[in-house]
Amino acid sequence: MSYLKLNSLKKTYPNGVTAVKDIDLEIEKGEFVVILGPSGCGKTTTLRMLAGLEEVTNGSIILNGRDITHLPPRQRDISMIFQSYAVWPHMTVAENIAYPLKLRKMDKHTIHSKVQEVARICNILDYLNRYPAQLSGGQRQRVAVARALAVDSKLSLMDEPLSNLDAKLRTSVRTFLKEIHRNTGATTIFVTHDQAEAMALADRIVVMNEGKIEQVGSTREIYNQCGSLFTAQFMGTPPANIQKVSLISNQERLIANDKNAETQFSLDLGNQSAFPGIDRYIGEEIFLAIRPENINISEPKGINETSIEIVEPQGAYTILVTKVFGSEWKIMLEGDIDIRIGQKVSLIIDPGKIMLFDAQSKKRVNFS
Amino acid sequence: MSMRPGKLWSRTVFLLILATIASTVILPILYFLTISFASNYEAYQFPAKIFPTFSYSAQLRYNAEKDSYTLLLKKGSTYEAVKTTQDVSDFSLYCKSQLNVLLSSAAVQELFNKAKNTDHALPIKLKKDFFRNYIVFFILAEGSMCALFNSLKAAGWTILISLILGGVSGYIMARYKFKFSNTFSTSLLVVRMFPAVALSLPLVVYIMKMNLYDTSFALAIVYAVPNIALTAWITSSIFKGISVELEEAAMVFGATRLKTLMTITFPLAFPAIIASSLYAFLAAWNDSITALIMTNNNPTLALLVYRTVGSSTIPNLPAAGAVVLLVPSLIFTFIIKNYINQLWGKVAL
Repeated sequence: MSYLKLNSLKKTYPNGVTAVKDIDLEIEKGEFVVILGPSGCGKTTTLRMLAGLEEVTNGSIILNGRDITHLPPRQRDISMIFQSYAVWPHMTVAENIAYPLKLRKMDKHTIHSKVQEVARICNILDYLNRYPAQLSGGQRQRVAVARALAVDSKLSLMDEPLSNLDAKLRTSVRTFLKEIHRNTGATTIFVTHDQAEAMALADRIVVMNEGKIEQVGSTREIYNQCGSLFTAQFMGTPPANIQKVSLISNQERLIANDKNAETQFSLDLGNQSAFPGIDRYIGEEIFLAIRPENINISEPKGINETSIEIVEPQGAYTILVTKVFGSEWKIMLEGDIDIRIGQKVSLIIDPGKIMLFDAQSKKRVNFS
Repeated sequence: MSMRPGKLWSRTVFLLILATIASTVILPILYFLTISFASNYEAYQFPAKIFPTFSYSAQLRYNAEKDSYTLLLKKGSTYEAVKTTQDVSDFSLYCKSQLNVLLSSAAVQELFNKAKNTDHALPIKLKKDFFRNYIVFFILAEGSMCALFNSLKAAGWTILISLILGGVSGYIMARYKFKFSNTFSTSLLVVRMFPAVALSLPLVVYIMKMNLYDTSFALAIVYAVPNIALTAWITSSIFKGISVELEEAAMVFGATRLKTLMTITFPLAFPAIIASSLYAFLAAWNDSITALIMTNNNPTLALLVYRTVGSSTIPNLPAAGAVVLLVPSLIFTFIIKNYINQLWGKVAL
């Protein structure tokens, strides 16, 4: 029995919009799970149902063996960090942290020592007597974290807690949150639309799209073994290069042709033996996805030839834009590459890094 | 010397604003104050004085052939004869009632003797009893302290009823979306369209049946009816200004809905709610029509002012009554002045 279990959770709003369709998810104690998805995918609604702030239309939520589906928020033993920090402006920092403890009827000394303890952890000891209006955004978020820490809840929820912070602060608070999690081991569900945040923080990432879970897995799995076309499109900066192609076999080599055959471009994907079980897709249409960093270039060798159209130096790496199948493909190469625009190159693709998706179901085609 | 068009434009706007403030705020208040300190004689003068006067420049002339005395008051550069009499008490009475000048018979006699011994007119300075109108007003308006207390009670009840009922509706309007919620909020305003008389005439029957006739509470019920709607609209914008996440955070961290309302929402909305009570206060304070219908022996101050000086043909006494009525409103506004800026949903965060 897992620690937190969502059984076919569903949310339909009174206006008929279904925000969450049948979510099944199991989370182990101490896990840091990030729910990742574009805006409107139902990730925040899912979190709010966990918190008890949205009514559950269908399904159930089991936390630590207790059905909390229809309990009011206060009886769920959870803590939450909000996007807008939600620190109460009429209370000092110390009062903010102490308020949930007072509601739990703790005695004054326990509250005082607890406030001191979490304030030290969150590095806000100097601000305990200030009001939130006198603090910066980052400090306010630390207060919100301290408040959540102080209650020792069974489940810690975070609703895009970093998105109101500026870029520089975001990475430092991110590190801080990870450190807090390492020290407390609190079971955490973190909602975000920022994949960098998700990949940096998560033990497991839950990718959501249109109210459904697309894929659940570790950062590595989500990034390198995308379960669906959506994940491949969504993950990565820049995202994977995707093209609908038809596969043909030519002298034991797997060739991808442009679906519309307009551009006459064909991409050699390597030895067919690298794709066991690909036979049934020969002659069929399929989605081909390759991450920009999994493409390399060499001197023109007669196959997979194309020319460089745009060069975007980024310091640590360089992004090259080429035309493949008539659409722009991005190639990411380490270091500062010295290359001319218009230069002819051959693309080198590692067959093991190629991802293929079924044209109908848009699910990953597995070979093994 | 030429001026840039932009500068000319902004100067014109500035002067226009200044003129608007002067004509809508400063001049009327100044007029009321001056008139309230004016004597009957001054109130009849045209053009009226801008500032109140403290004394008259006058002359007293002895008419030997009739053995009478003539009082002349300075008007512009000349003197105007206002009263001719032989009698000391007649002169004294005239000074008191028409000029707000208190002169004892002995003092008048002394002036007469001096004037008689002078060949030409005797220049004198008559000092005004500055607060005479107010004293007269309070003498005329019997039971004014009682009426003041009634007014305060009625205003207090009105504020209480409007804030409780209006505040709850405002909270509902701000936080809950239900079928016809927009219709509900608009229909609240319809209540404000009823004339006070139309409301109070039928109500007075029920009020009498409930043994509440002639009480401040009954008055407050009528005052509150249109004010509940207004308070609901004002408070709803206040509550909308308070982030829902603040309430949700409290509930997640262990508070019940009621506890959240009492410890989070209400303290945050409190300053603005206090400011919105100004409307309820003014509605109750300034009304005299409803009070005329709903009270008998326990009039409010506004009604008392109306009864006392409402039929007066000279504006100085009513002006004094108006100022008496104005002062408590000003005091109330002054007390809550720090909160008024937070009205209309501007909550300090």
